[in-house]
Amino acid sequence: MSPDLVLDPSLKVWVLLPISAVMILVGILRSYVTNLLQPLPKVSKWKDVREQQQLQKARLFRGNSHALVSKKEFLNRQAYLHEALTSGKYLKNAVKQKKDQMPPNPLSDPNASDAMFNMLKSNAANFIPQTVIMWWINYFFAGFIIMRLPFPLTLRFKSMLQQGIDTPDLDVRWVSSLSWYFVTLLGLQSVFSLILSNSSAVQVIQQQMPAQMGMPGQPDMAKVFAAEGESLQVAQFKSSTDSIEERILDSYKL
Amino acid sequence: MATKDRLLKLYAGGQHVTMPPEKLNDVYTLSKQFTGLLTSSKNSYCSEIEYFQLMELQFYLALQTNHDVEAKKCMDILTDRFNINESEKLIGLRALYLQATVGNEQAFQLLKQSGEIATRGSPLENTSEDLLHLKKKAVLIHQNDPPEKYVEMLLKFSEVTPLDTSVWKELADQYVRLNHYDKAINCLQEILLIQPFAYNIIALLAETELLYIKQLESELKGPGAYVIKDKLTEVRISCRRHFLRSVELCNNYVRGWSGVLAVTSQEISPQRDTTEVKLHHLATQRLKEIQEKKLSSDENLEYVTPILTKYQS
Repeated sequence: MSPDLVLDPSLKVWVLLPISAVMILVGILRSYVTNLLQPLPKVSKWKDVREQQQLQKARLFRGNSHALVSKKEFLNRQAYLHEALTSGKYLKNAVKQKKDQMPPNPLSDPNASDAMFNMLKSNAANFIPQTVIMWWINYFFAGFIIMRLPFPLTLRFKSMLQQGIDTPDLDVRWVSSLSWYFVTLLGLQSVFSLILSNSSAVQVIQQQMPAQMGMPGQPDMAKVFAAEGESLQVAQFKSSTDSIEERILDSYKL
Repeated sequence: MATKDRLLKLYAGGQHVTMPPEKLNDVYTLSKQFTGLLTSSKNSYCSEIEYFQLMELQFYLALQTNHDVEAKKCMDILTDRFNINESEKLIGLRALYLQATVGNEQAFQLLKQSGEIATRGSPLENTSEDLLHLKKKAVLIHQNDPPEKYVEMLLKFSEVTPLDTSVWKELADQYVRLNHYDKAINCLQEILLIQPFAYNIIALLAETELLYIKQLESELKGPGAYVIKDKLTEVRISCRRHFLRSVELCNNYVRGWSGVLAVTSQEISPQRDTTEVKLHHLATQRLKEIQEKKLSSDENLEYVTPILTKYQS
């Protein structure tokens, strides 16, 4: 079967290759821009560290208290930790008055807005070039068919490969310019990791992203501390060294 | 590839800190040869991050083996790539270098200055309180000051980072030096609450309790003998159980079995019950077995005979 359409070969030179080349170049540029926009790692303030670690210490105590031998030691430490948690002396911000029980406004908290601004910056680096390229393709190459796939496809691929042209009877193999843009947008990741060769750096950036997401709207630490203090109070003591003499003698059959 | 992985593992684990000298020298030679083959430019063999990790390791190894020039070279490579005024870690490395080559005073000055340099950028941040330097300053002060002040510093630090086990260990060591065994025991218990299966710390704790027993025994003749007597029984039980726990977790542990032998001997507990006699017997048996079958390192096995003769009943 001979092809039902004949493509002008200059379409390849003036549309297909430019779109691909622009996509690759913009992708490289974008990865450098995101690198530059990455916030420098901050030195953690000691009060933050203390708050986190003291809380973690109380949690570890609940889990590992079996390492202690006598119940007296356990009770001493339990009382001390409970006091430390409920009095709030290790809180980053001292406990506020009862009056303002309102949750803090995430927009007024300088740390939270900082995190949001960073998120905004990295998002902007993603969507600004995308918008510009899409406008460029829509403006110059709207409704262009630029290539024909060498293999047959089912009808379901029509929406993927023929965006921007309304011809229900056209064979699915023909690819429109806008669809080619989407395919390259999603499929060039492996090409970038080849070109940039520093794939670990790319991955590091990608891994950091979700960690920043949870920044705004942190739980009220005073409440977390109080809850931990409560669960500490109901913790039961059982030492791993209870009747260890018998255990050892039994294991060596004496 | 295997060499790289081994070195990176060493970097992550930090075993080089406690290595015997001959082995350390071997590792240093290996690391030097290996890093000599690498360049920081892109290559498929090792990524940029790995390269600088290896450089840092090489820096530590060079300092430990007294190769100052090599250490300087590694530090220069790191400072060429990263801005020393912004990197807390690099300042720490530089202070370490100064401490090893020039003296504590210069290292301390550098840390103080670096705090000022860092604050210039953003006056609101109080970097003099940042953590790495606080720890380093505490250690540097220690060599010049009386131990009491050092302990005070460590206590302050342990309040901020209660999960840093090295601080608790250092505190325990200092308390032992000052003969405050009960406080040392407390610090070691803190470590156990973070790492409940660290059998070496359990054994160390039991050994400290052994020292505490001796101290309490010497106080028996003084006033308040009743209270001390109760305490003594308590510590004896706890000491025995800790030694037993350590050998339960690691059954060829020479130190643990020696402790069991000692704490169940006539010398430490004069009125022994049947369990203690049995345990004493078991410990003797196990130590002999470990010695015969060479189940531990040569270094440990050397100690077995003198311990056996000392506590044999």
